[in-house]
Amino acid sequence: MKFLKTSLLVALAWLLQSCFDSDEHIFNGEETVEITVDASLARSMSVLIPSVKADTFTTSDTIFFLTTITPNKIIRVQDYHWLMDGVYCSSEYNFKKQITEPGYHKFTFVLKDHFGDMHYDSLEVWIADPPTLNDSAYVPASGTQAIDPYEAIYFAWSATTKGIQLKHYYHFTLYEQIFANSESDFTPIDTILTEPHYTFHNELNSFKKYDWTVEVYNDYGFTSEQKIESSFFTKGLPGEGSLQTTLSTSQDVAIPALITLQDLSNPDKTLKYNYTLSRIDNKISLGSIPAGKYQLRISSSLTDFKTIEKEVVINDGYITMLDNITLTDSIKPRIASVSGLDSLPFADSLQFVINDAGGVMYSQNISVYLESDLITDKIFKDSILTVHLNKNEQSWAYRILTITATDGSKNTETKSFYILPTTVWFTTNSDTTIASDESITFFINDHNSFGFKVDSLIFFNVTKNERIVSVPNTGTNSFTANLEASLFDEFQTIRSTVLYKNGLSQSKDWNLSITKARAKEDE
Amino acid sequence: MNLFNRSILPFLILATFFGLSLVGCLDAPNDPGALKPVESIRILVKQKESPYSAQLKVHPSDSATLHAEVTPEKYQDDLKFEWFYANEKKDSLLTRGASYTFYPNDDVLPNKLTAIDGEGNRQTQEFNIIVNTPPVLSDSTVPASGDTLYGTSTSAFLFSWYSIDIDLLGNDSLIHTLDIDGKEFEVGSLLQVKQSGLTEGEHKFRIIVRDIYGDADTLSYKKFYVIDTLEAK
Repeated sequence: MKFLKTSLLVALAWLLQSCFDSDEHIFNGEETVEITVDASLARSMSVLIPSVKADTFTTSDTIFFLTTITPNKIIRVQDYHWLMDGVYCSSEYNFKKQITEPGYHKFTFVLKDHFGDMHYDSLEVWIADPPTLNDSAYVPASGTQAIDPYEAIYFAWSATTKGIQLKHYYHFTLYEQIFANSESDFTPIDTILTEPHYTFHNELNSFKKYDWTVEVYNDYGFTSEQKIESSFFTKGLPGEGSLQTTLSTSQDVAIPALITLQDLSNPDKTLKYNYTLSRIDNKISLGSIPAGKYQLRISSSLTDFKTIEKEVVINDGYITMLDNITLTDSIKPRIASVSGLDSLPFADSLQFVINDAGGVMYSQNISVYLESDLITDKIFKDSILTVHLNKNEQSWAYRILTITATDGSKNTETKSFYILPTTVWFTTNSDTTIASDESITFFINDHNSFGFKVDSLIFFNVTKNERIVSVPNTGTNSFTANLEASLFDEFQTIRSTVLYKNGLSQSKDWNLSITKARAKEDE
Repeated sequence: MNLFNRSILPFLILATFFGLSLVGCLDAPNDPGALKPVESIRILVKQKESPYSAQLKVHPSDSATLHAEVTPEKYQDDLKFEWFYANEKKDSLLTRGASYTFYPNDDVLPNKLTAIDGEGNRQTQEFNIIVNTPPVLSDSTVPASGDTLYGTSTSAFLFSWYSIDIDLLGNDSLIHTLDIDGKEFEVGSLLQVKQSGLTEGEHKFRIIVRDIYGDADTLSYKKFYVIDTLEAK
């Protein structure tokens, strides 16, 4: 029995001891490792995109929830998971999620370590789509006319953010249209509103166009894709209207323009407006015009621009808006030599006239080529183009000089001239003056070094456009003929030509002047 | 004295002590699934024959009944409720019970509910009763029904109306919608606008006004006519 009692006491002691883990009851701080959790969110897994603790997203965004565990993720843990607004969400360290419920959401990462200690980190997310601005129903409607400039003007529009009640902010602007021919004393409005309407109480100007815009963004900073861009027109005194248009030109630089409005009910009554139009500053307003029917004429003192005419109606209180009008110059520059000839003898300086009635011509818009060689030695001044040629550009053959000129309206004219051969293989007469009672010896002596056979030798009166002498199939390289002065006029240009059997030919022009015999005696 | 030789009483004492120790060591948690706590207590309100609503908004002219709704419903009778009017100084008990009927014009409106379970645990919710009067639109408008307007499709025609809401002195505000031929223009608190886009012929318009609590008033459509003065020429 005693043994039984002793055994019971031992068993009792052993069982009680088993309830306590006596080996672990003494805390040793050196054996512990501090555990920290760090949660973050990002728009992608790219390392270039920083992760943050809070951000705003749209319902179509994918949000990446990331966790960093210190010392690492392979420590012994009992549990870890994510909560979204306090409700279980995921049991991954990292996960991605698209949140379709607009509003504020709190995400908490929860980790229970091996010892049962809890570790938390939280993130904040705001979800909303960009606001939608109703850009089809607003007040006043686009193009509204006859707004009284002395009364209040009411602007109203609407915007919503789907699925959530958010505060909206409206960027509202109001500007007066700037015209090329008038100045504006209107102070533009550019403001942020918290209500979707605006009342303008100040005075506007008569017969003006006003542009207004609205953009909206919500409390989460999302901006609407839509934008209201509208305009309205003010009226003026009773019985008057106005006309506005955009006048374009085909030219980059400003040009003078004359606009006339001839009253069709009273042709003697004509309104005239002079403007200088440029490509960017070209919106014009003709101000107050008595209501009625008019013949509109738009022209320019630059005569290459075609005049535009059309009938317009000016209505009482309204601004007549004309579609864009373009004054067009479609006439090319005109190119000619100063002599008027297209075949020119070679010279150190050749001069040409380049005219364009569509504005000023500039040297950089003129190019000159001798065959394929660009000639840069040129001067263009006062419509005269002077081209300088080098001696080494002389040739026994015809050469082609091509001039290209482009005016301010991009009209381009290209014209080619022939440069007469200057190196000839024969000798002939030079410019000669004889008395009317004398004679002259015409001669041609060919001495080409290439051995070309001569086919014909010709003297031609260029001035009278008739042949003087032609020696076909001569078989020789020279020819002479003595001709009396009475056969010729007072002045003529003679062309001596050698035609070779291989098809080549060479010519030289020279002048023959005939003076009166008596005048010679007087000398 | 040798108790061990005369009785098994010491053995029983030791065995009992041993059993209690084991129970203490086990410390087994309860089965969570076995617990069925009250999930929520919602405060609802109704007036006249309308159903109960979680939006605690009442019209000032009729009595209203508050009701504490317990989820799950089977615990509804296990809880007791106390309705209070509370201010910075003290809580005034108004009544006990799951429902409380009051008049919105009373100076004292309930704003606090305490739920008490069978073990005396208390849970308190504060709430706010909104006493709201719906806005009212005047039938007098511009244009009046049957009016003829002269202009063009680009003319700015005046539309004006008048609305009133006695709650405007408080936090309430009104939002108006101008409906022209079925196309709605949100115009906020404006009481007049000028709108164009009306071609020659018969048109209709109406005004809808809403306050921030959703109460609304709507005018019936009014017809008007537009004569195009330029076309007439």
